[in-house]
Amino acid sequence: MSFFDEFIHVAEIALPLLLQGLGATAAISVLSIIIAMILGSAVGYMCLSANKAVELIARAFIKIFRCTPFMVQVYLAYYGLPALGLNVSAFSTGVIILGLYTAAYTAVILESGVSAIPKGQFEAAYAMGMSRFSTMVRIIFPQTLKIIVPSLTGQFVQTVKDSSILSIITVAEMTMMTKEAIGITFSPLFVYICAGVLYWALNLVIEFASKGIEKHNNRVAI
Amino acid sequence: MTESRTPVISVRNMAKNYGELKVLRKIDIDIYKGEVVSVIGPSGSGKSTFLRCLNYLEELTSGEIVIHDQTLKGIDEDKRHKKQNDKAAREIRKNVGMVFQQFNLWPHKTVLENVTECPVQVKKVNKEDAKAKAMELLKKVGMDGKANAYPTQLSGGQQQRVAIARTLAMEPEVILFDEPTSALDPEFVGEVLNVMKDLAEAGMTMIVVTHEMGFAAEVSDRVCFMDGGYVIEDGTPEEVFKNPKSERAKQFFSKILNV
Repeated sequence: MSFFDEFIHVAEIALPLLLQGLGATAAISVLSIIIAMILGSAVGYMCLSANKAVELIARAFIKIFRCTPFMVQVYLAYYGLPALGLNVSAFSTGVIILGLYTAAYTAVILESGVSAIPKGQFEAAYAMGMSRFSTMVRIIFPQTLKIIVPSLTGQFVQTVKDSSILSIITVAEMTMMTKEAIGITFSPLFVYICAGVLYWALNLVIEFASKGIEKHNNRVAI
Repeated sequence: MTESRTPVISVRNMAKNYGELKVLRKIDIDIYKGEVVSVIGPSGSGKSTFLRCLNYLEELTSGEIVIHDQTLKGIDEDKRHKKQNDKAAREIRKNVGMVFQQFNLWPHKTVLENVTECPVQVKKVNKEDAKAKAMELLKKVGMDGKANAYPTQLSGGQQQRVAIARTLAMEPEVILFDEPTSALDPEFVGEVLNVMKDLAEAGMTMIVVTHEMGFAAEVSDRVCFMDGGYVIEDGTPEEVFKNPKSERAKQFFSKILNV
């Protein structure tokens, strides 16, 4: 059998498993990113609070999730949640922990984006009688989002890649399925090539979407 | 002669420090309804800071400002004033508009959206009414043709006229102008001053920090000359420009008026 024939043979066996894993990886990534966007915005907003206690809580959250290895966080969640009496599936545990981890980075990106908005933008809103909250939500965040699209894209691509670590807690995502396919085909090289290509394709989708959003934003020069 | 009227804005003993730097030392001034007051003086004299204190974009260090029945108090006297000030500021800002040197239009919103944003969000005016009102105001400042443009597509003068319409949309009783023409190309200064002149003639109460001596002389009822954190001249344009009492003002005018 030629090299190429062997690859095709392995791919035929591995791909159905990998595609199944790809579905799970995509689902985990999308759900985590949604959690990260919502929670990250909230934490980012808290970082900008005039209330020192609120700011401190937000900063503590960011420090904890950014300064410990993701793998340690995954294990802690996997063994910790049941110890707290929360019996959630490995899949949900994975989504939650990846969401929290990404939220910490999202919050920092958002905060740095807000700091790039000229002070006059806030002042015009305050002088017109807008509350702090409406000023943030209606005036500042929309402008910030345009600035941070490239950094957010980088972070979300990272999230897709980080989801592979969830294989250690038996989440049936693509890396886990890769190992399973290797167990059947005994051909790690070819299976990992397939897995690599699929991860790459998934992230290309995110990057293209991001470029599309940037293009849309740039129709109106800011 | 003004004793019988109640002032719209009354400032008592106001001081403002940035750490060690004393920007405003002691300001006492009353502004009456319908008055156009120009505040002039050298850079660093505290003009802009004075104006920004009036709608609480800056905290005052001591003294007080009374606008309607709302009072802003110095935070050095009592830290608890901060909370009360926040509350008072919200009421004050409903009656006091501000126009900035850098226009500060919101770039992600169209001209029309810039003008309707606050009436809808703050005053809860319904969208259609706000739009109709906004178009009327944009017409007044000659910008109705650009209602759907974005701020970055406009010249500085056009942006500033939109900013004035945005402020008017909140129907303020007083408008504070913070060097409204200083960031403009010379050829666009006139169009903004004309809009301001129209407002003055319509009876709007205005406080204008400006370097446009022509405007101050022609349009204002009163001119205040500030230096070193004090108002050192306060009178009609005639009195202040022609017969300044202080040496500092004489010196200042001799440098700029014979240009």
